[in-house]
Amino acid sequence: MSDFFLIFSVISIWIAVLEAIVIMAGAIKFIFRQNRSPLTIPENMDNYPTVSVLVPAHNEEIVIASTVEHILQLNYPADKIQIIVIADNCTDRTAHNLKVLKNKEAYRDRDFMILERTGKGGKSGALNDARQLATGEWLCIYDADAAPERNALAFLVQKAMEEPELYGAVFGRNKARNRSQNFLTQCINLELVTVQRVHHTGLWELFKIGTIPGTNFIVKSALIQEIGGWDEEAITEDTAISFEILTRGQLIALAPQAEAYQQEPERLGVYMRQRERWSKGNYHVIIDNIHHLFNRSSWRIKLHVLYYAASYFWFMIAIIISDIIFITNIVYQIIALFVPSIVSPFIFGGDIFVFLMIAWALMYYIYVLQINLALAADIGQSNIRNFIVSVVSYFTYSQLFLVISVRAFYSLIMDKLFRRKTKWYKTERFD
Amino acid sequence: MIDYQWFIILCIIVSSIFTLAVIILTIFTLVFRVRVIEKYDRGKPNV
Repeated sequence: MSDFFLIFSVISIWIAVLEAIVIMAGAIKFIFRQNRSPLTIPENMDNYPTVSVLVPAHNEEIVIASTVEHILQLNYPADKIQIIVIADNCTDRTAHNLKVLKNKEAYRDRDFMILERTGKGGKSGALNDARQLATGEWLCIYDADAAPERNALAFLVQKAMEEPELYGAVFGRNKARNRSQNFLTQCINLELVTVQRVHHTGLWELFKIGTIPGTNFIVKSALIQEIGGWDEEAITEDTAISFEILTRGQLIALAPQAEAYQQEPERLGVYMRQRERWSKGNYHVIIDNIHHLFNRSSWRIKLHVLYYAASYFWFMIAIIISDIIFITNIVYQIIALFVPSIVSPFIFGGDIFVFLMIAWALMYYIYVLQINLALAADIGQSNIRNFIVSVVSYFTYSQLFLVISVRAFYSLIMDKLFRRKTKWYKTERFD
Repeated sequence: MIDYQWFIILCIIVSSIFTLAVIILTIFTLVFRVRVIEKYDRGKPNV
């Protein structure tokens, strides 16, 4: 039996390494190609479509005014942009702060609406209410803590205009504005940079696969109408809607120059709650979409489902098993120094254990390499401090993923067994 | 004990291919990093 576990772990880690190698090769191709083509900021936006920017905000008095000011200052024709900020069940000064901003001389002529709502459905419910009032051909979503760069929306639309029939949505990049705050935010920053500059680019370059990240993206209004709006039962509404878009034969394109800053959790408790919600939401999405693997869905959707299912189920189980084997063998070897007769339950024929170590070492190496490729692509981030954090984070920050995944899975099972309604945690903001 | 010779051979082949791929990716990463540093002239004093 132990032989089976070992071989399962080795083969699973190989597949994880292969996935990492393929995605990284795609990312390198993308990065080299992008490096050759100069950045062109759109100047003539006469033929650009109208856009409704929706900002759902639940008790966001700390950040909301700054976010909306960034949106009001976007480089996009004022007559083509409508801004709807949804003060969703707010019990603080979110709506008040928005009214103060709206009354400023500079913004009085802008198409800027504050929607105070008390309905249900969380972020999805707020977006669904706002889309009823939206007049734009495209919808643009920013979270309440976002700080988009001046040309972010222009870059998103510029990408959409390349293939307006094929691209159902376009997403940009999000950066951690509080990345230097502490070790946790430094690690989150590395994860964010790597996901966006290696995983997103690699998947887009090789397979034209993209996933909406929840903020800093645009989507066709008509497409959202066709889908029936955001799923109010989904915990990760962004991933859920991504699959809906792909199912309709539309692509989710990457606009790498469209950048926005966001705030990341600064405390472990806040981070764990946020990530558990994401993991649980992604489990739901995988379960809801696993049928695509066995029906006539396109290869792109199958690959997308497989990518998520492998990351959240398969590789997670393989890493847990290999960790148990690894730690058990170390513990037994230490005990054997004092009690030579003791034998580990994981004794293997030949040198298979050595190859598990080699596979693990390759996975660790490519993990560090991916982060450092991403850091090199983000000006100013490739420094010694980040390199050290990238080396250390595998043994610290990344192991949290296992705890989070197991807890989210347990919570999901409990929800199913006891028919519990999933609770939606709002991520806490920091001054 | 079961004979895993076939698996050992597979391990050697796969590990060798992956090692080669990782070396190539490392070279590309370092080349890219050097190009970025040269392009943005980082680390040199402003004259």
